[in-house]
Amino acid sequence: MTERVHDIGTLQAMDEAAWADLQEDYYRRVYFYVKRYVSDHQTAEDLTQDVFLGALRGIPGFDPAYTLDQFVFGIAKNRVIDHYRKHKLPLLPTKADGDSDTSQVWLENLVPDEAPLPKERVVKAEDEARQRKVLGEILREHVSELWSSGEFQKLMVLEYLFVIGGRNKDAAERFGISDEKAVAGIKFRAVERLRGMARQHDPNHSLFLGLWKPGAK
Amino acid sequence: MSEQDDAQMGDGQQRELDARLSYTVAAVWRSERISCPHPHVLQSWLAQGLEGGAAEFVEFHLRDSECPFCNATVDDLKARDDEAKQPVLEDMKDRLLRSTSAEIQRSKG
Repeated sequence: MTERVHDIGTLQAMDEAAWADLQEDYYRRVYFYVKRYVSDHQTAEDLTQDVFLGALRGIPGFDPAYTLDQFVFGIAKNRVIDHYRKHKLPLLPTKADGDSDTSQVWLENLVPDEAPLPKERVVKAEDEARQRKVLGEILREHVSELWSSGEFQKLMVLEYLFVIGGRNKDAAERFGISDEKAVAGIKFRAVERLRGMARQHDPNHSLFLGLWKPGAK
Repeated sequence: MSEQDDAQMGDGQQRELDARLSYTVAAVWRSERISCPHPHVLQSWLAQGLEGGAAEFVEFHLRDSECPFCNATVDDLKARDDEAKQPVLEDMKDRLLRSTSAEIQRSKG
């Protein structure tokens, strides 16, 4: 599989060769991504075409806070949703959205809870982009630690709780862990580790204000 | 918050936190593809070259988490081994290139 670096500036300049390279790298994955949600080849191909046309139209406003992968697959996701809406197909909720009895884990108190004033919104958006970037980095770092040390059960438990929104009890059953308290322990230690990493990434106490409030854990 | 508090935290409290935050670990984890294995790892898994916990994790990620990105990569890798699918995908590639090229010309025109 190719791992070419695509230059955003060249794509924004509408360089045909750059777009051909991008398409070469992405068209199969985009097609198979879309194909998971639609039944026939022709619809999947039409949607794939829409994704690249959407990318062409959207590239002038490309937000460097995101990767090209996120940009392309973000458009693909939206095209699938548009298709479902247009044809009045039921949008199936994700597991996390559909189950009200979940225990999704949050890095609580990472961000302040006050609503910003209008003039603060631009700054807030920039701060959120930075928070998101750092949160991504620390999560990736933690997952990499677990992968390197072969702690795959912990990794599965965290993905089950954090991403799928599963409950401790169900995680214990799914992964053959003695009881839900043991799962809560895995979750607790992971959240503590992530909080510690977040503090290290925020030496000026300006990014995750909630972590530095008096009494914050 | 202690480990015990965390274990006993009710769903109501969890949801209260949901409303206060503009993003979640889940949102970042999904969009940044935090735990997605490298395509080479997926390739090894397909070739049954992964063992133990790593193989178990890949299966969990594909089947329980239903990661659409990794499933697309796996479908793509499988299709590369399926010669019957190659002409269909190659024809599609040509059509996509033509439509992209036409759009570029329009945008420049």
